[in-house]
Amino acid sequence: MNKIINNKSFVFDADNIKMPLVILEEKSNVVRSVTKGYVIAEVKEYDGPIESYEIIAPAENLSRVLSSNFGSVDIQDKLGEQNGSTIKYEFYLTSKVMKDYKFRIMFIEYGIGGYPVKLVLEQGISDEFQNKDDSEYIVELNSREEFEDAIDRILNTQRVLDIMQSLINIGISNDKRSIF
Amino acid sequence: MRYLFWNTHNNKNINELIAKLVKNKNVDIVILAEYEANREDLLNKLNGDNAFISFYNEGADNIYIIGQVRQVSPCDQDKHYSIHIINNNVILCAVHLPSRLYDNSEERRKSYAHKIINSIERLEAEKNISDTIIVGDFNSNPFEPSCIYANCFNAIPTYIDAKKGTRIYADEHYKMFYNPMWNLLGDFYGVPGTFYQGGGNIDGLYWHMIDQVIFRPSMYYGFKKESLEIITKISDVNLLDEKQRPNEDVSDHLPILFEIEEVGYEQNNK
Repeated sequence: MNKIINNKSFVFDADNIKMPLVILEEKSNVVRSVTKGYVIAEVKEYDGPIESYEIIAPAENLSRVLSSNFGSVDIQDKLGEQNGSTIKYEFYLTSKVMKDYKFRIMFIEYGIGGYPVKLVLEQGISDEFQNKDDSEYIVELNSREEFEDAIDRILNTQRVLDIMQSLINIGISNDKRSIF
Repeated sequence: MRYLFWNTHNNKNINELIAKLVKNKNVDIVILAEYEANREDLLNKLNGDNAFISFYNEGADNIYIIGQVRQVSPCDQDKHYSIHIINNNVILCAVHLPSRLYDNSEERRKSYAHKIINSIERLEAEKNISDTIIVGDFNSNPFEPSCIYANCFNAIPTYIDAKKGTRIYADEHYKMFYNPMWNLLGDFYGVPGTFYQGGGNIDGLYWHMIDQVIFRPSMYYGFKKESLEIITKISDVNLLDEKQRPNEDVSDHLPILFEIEEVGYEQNNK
């Protein structure tokens, strides 16, 4: 009997296919809970560029396409699908009492499979995360475990904790003002 | 409303000078970068007869803003920029973009410009506000890519063109800013920039106009042209050294001052 596929190599564990968006939403709930609702972590789809890029005018674009160098693309440099079908989100902190306040922790971008996932970190967080000033703020993670671990570390950087504490303080003093 | 921006280069003894400048020039909003002096002391010095308040900008490390305003609402905050809505009708974005001394990558500043413009345009749409000011240490000259590229600050030197509102590039519409700093370039009138750097690089200019204000053309008729000034003296203290460069004992940057009145904005479509 021909055994063409070893079915023991498959994994049917839902945790393993948890998308980065779902993980960020879970972390948002944790943030809300541990800060007693004073700090709100939001995940929203983002349609702008998340890192530096160059826009190319149509004529210039054509000449690039026709040039021999432009045709050479390292497939490993691309996230997700080669047709560019990636999705981007921003993950940020805001406040119960200052609705327009926004501290963006990072952007994320990933393809249909979820991983690898690209993180574009806020510079201050990146510097602390990597213990280096003006650090490279784009990080690529290959699996759910790596992503979840990174998010936990990012949310526990002193920079993020300080901002959360400040937002809690503002929220509490606002509550006191409304009581008296 | 009179605005002052100054990168104070971590000078811890600069409060007296700031307070004198604010009083001499009747400044309403003070935006400081690399400010390391005592904040409470500065507020005490200023609040003799005025009512300055600190803007809440947790997350924008190197920027400190105080002002005499009725209402201020903090919006996007980042290590390199701080956005607020003032009196419900003006978006003020203070910037301190990555240094050209330690990170000469204009690419990084372009990347910040994208993010800042994206945030500003979202706020302009959500809040129905058309009057936006961006001020601070751009670490780029008015003619460098982050300032002029359509998908960056898109800050144009001439009002007659900026007032068209948008320009089209690669089939996309990009909203423009007006950049009055171009009028202060060169050595015909006054000091030729706000920052001096030796000319050792291949593109060395010596003087740089990296501290700037740009604003939406809708604010042009409220802008007082004659108010735009690079400050070189505060009372009897010269901010230039014997070589006529910024006196680094005070700061390696010179302050800029400008006034934009709220009245008259509506004339912009004339």
